[in-house]
Amino acid sequence: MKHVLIVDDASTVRMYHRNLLEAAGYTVDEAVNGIEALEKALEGQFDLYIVDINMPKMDGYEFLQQLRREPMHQAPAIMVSTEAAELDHTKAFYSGANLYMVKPIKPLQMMTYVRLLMGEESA
Amino acid sequence: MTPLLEQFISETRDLLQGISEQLLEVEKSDDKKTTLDELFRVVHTLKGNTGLFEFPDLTRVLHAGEDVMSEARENPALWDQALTDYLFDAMDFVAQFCDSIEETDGNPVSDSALANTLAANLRAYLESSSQETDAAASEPEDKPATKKAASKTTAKKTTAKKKTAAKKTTTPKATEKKTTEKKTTSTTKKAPAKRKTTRKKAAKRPELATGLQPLDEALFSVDRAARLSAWLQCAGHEEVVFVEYTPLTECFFQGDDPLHSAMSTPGAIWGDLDCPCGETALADLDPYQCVTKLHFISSASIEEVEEHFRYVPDQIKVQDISVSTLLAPLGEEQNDALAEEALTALCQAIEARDHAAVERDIDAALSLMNVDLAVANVLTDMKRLLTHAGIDSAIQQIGLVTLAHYLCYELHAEPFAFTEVAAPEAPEGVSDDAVSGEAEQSADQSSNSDSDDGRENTDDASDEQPLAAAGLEEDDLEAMEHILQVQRRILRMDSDDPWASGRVDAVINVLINCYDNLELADARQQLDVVIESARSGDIESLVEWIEGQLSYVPPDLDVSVADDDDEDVDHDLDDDVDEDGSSEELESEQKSNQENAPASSDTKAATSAPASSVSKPATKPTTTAKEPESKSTPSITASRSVKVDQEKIDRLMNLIGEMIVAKNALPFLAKRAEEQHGLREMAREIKEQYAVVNRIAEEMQDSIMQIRMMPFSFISMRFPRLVRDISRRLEKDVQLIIEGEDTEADKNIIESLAEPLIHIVRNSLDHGIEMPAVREKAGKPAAGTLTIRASQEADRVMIEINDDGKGIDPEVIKAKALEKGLIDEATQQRLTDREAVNLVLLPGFSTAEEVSDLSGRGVGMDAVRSAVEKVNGTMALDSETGKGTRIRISLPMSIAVTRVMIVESDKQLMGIPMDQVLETVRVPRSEIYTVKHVQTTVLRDRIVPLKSLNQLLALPSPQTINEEDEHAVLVARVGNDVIGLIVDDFRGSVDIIQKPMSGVLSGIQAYSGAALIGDGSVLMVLNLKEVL
Repeated sequence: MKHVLIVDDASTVRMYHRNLLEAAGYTVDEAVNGIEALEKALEGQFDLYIVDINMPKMDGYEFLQQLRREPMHQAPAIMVSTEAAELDHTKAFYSGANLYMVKPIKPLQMMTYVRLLMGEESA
Repeated sequence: MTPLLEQFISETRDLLQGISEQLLEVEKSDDKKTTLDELFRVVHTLKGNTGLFEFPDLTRVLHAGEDVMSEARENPALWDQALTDYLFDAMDFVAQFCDSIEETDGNPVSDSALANTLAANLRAYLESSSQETDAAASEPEDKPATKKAASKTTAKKTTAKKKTAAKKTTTPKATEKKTTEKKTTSTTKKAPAKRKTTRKKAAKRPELATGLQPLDEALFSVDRAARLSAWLQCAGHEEVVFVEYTPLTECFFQGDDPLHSAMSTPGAIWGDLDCPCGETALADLDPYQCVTKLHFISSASIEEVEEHFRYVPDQIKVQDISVSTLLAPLGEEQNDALAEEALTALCQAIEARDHAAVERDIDAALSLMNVDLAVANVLTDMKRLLTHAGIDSAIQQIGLVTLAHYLCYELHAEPFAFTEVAAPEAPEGVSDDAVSGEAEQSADQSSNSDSDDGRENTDDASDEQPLAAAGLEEDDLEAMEHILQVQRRILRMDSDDPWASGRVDAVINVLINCYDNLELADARQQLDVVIESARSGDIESLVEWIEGQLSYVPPDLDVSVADDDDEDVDHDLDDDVDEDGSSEELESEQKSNQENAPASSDTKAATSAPASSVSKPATKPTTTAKEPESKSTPSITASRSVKVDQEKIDRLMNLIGEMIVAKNALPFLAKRAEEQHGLREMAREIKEQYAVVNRIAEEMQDSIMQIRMMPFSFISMRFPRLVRDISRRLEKDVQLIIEGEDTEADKNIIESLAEPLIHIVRNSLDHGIEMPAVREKAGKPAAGTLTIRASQEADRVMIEINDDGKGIDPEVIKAKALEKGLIDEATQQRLTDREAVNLVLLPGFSTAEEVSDLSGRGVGMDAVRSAVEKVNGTMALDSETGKGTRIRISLPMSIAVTRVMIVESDKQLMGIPMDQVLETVRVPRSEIYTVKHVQTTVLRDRIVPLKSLNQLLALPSPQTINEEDEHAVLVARVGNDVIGLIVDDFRGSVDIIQKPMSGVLSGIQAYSGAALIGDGSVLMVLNLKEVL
C-alpha cells in the first residue's frame, strides 16, 4: 500500500487531498506544519509528500530542505500552493520539490501526477 | 452539504477567529511585523481554501485582503485603523458567506455588489498607500486606466525588479547566459523602448486613454458576465453610449421613476442595476429611498440621451464608448501567465474556428492560473462566449477575436494576425527586444506552468523521441513531459546546499517511479545506467538522457532564469546578495568541470556552513538544532484532537443519563430480593455489583461531561471585537480585560451565556462607562476599563463583569420602582442600596424609555436574568455611584444531570436541586419561635425563617415530627435569601435527568420538572423560587 504524507495547515485542503488519494487506494497521513511533517516523515516511510508552502512554525520550503538532508527519505514531493509566481516555483524546486502545482488543483491532473510519481502499482 | 464543505466552513470560522484576534493584536502590538506575517498567513490559507470551491465573490474579497496584507507586512507603517476596519468588514462578509453556505446547503446567496465594494475598498487602500510609497519612484504613470486597481502594486514590483536587475549589470559577466540577462535588463534600462510599449498600449485603447475615467470605473465595476451579455446585445454597433444614472435618494418623492426612465431611454440596448447597499441589513433599508445606481447602454447619441434625461441632468453621466471596451479585462497583470506557444495555439484555434480546441486550450490554461488575473478574466469570457447558447456564430467569432487581442495585449505578446475578421484596431507590431525578451522568458517559464509548449513540437520530433513514441495515453504523455521538464530543471540547479544530494536522489526516485509506473522497460534499463553515473557524480549524463526523452527541450535559458530567480530567492535563503555575482562565475566554472563537489567556496554554501567544509554535511548542527524545537512544539497534540458532531456527544450524554437512572434500579432490586424473596446472599451480590456499575457509570458520566466542557474563551473571544466596535462607535475609550478564559463549563451553559454577556457588555459600554472628557473631569483615567472574569468555585462557574463607569444611582432606581408599582413606600425606605440596584433585574422594571432617563443600565436586564436562570444560574448586581458596576453570574458547570435531594412530605417524594440546598438539620420543636407571625429558628447564630412545605403546597396534613420531637428542616438558598423548609423526612440525594414539564403540566410553576428515579416512579422537582 502506497503511503502519502499531506502537509498543509488548512484542514479543508488536507481533507480534499485525502479524499482524492484515498479514493485512489492510497493511505494517507497528515501534518499541519513543517515540524510535525518532519517528525512524521522521519518516523515513517512515505512514497510521496504533498506539501503546502505557507504554514506556521515551519514552512514547506524549510521542511523540504530539511527532509532532503535525510538520505533515507527521498520520495518524490509535490509542492502545492496558491502562489503562481515563478519565483516560488524556483524556490520550491531549489528546496527539493519535484513538482509544483497551483491551487485550486484539478483532481484528474493531480491524480495523474501522483500515480506516475508513486511508481509501480502495488498489488 | 458535502463533508468537505462542512470542513471548509468549520475551518473558515476558526481562521476568521484567528484573523480577528490578530487584527486586534496588530493594533496594540509593538512587533507589528510578526503579527502581520501571521495575519497574512492566515488570510492566505483562507483564500487558498476558497479556491477549492466555486465562490468567486468570496475569493475576490479574500484575494484583495491577501494583497493588502502582503503589502502591509512589507511595510507595517501602512497599518492603521481604517485598514483594520476594512479588513473586519471583509471578514464579516466571509462569515456571512459561510452562514449562507450553511443555510442554503452549499448554494449561498452571494452579494456580489458588496463583495465588489469590499474588494474595491481594500484595493483602493492599497493603491493610496502605494502611491505614497511610490511617490519617489519615477515610474511613468501613463498606464491605461483600466488597470487602476492592480496597476499600483505591479508598478511597485516592477520598480523592485528594476533595482535588482540594475544591480546585476554592475557585475562583469562572461558567459553566454549573461547576454540573455542583459537582454532582459535592457527592458528596464532602455527608457525609450519602454515608452514605446506604453504608447502602443495607449494607442490600442484610445477609448480608455482619452479621459472620462469616472465612467470607466463605473463601467468596470459592472460584473464581467453582465458586460459580456451587454457586448452580445451591442453586437452590430460600433460606438455606443454608456450611461450611469444615479437617482437622488429621495427621487421617489419627486415623482421620478428611475427604472422606467432608464428603460425608456431611446435606443436602450442593455441595462444593469447596482445596489451599493449590501452592507445594510434588510431590516435597516428604507424602502422609500432609492439607493440604486443604473448602468445602461444605448445606441442613441449622447445628445439624445441627455435630452431624455433633461430633468435630471446632474444625475446622469454619459460617455461614448467603443463596443469592444465592454470586453476589456480587469484584474491583475501578469504577463507571463500564459506561454507564447499556448497563446499562438489558442489564436490559431480561434482563427480555425475549432471551438473544441479553443475550449480545451482555455481549460488547460485556466486550470493553472490565478482566477484574478486579467488574462484569466479574458479566458473565462472566451469560454462564456463559447458556451453561451444561441449566439450568432459571426458575432461569436468577433467576440473571440476581440478577446484574443486583449489577451495578446495583456501578455505583452505580438498581436496575432487574424485574417478573416477585421480586428477592431490592428495594433502596430511590437518587436523591440524588451518584449521579445519577456516572451522568451515566459516561454521558458511555461515549462512548469503549462505543458502545451511540449505538445507544440511533438510533430517533428516524435520519430526519435522515445517518450512520445512509447504509445502512452495523452494524459500520461503530457504529465510525463512536464515531470521530465521539471526534473531536468531541478538537476540543472547547481548548488552546494546541504540538501543538494537529497534533491538529486529525489529526482532519481521520481524518474524510477515514473518509468516503473508506465512499464517502459527499455527506457528503464537505460535509466539505470545513467542513474548509476549520476550517483557517482555525473549528473550531466542524466540531464542529457532526460533531454533525449523529451520531445521538446526548451532553449537553454534555464540556468539564467534559475539564477535570476535564485537571487530573489536568496534574500530569503541568505542575505548575501552582493556576492552572488562571483558565485555565478563559480557556478559556471563548476559546470564546465562537471564536478559535483568543488573545494572552492560558494556563497550559498558559505553562508550556511563554514567555507572550508562545503562538501561535507556541515549543516548537521542546523538539523539537530531544529530537533529539540520540534519536540517541544504543541502542534502534535493539537492534531490529535478530533472534531465530533455535537449530536453524537449529546446522544452519548443522553445515554449515560439513562444509564445512571437505570443503574439506580439495582439497589431497589436488591431490596426486593431480600425482602420479598428472602435471598439475602443474592441481595448482597447485587449490591456489590451495583457498586461496580455505579463507579464505572459515574466515571463515564464524568468523562462525557468533560467532552462537553468548553472553555469560557469560546464566547469571550468575541468580546475584544465587540468592545472595539462599540466603543469606537460611541467614541469612548475602553480597555477590555478578560481573565480566566480557560475556565470550563458545559457547552450548553457556555452557549446560553453568550447572549446575556453581550447584553451586559453593551450596557456597560453604552450606559456605564462615560465619555473620556466626563471621566477626566471626575478624576478618572480617560480610558474606561471593562473586566470580564471567569472562575470556578466548586461546581459552579462564576462570571464577573466589572466596569469603572458611573454606576447606578440607587435613589433613582427606587423612585422608578415605586413609580412602576414594583415596590411600596415602606419597602422603598427599607431597601438597602444594594437591594435597590438589584431592582433593575425585576421583570417589568426596565424598558428602553426608563433606561435612557435613568442613564444607568437596565436595558433588558430582566431578559438577561431569565436567560441566566434558565440554566439554573443566579446573578447579582453591585454598584457604587461614580465608581462602577459589578455583575456576578453564577452558573452550574453542567445542566445535563442534576443532583437533587429527595424529601418526603405528606407521603410524597419531591426533589430539590442540590445546588440550592445548604444543609439539612433536625430542629427540636422547642427551638422554633414565632417572630412577627413567621416561624423562625436560630441556626449557628443566624435567624432562619422556616416554612412548612405542606403549607406552601397547600397540602392538608401537618408536618410530621420524629421520635425526638424534631422537625426535618432543609436549609436552602433561594436567590440571595436563606430559608428553612420544614419537611417530613430526608431521603438522600440522587442524580436525575430532569425533563421539563410538558403539555397541560407545563403551566405549573411550582415544579421545574420531573424525573424518573431508580424504582421507576416519577419524582417532581420543586422550583423553590416559585413555591416561596
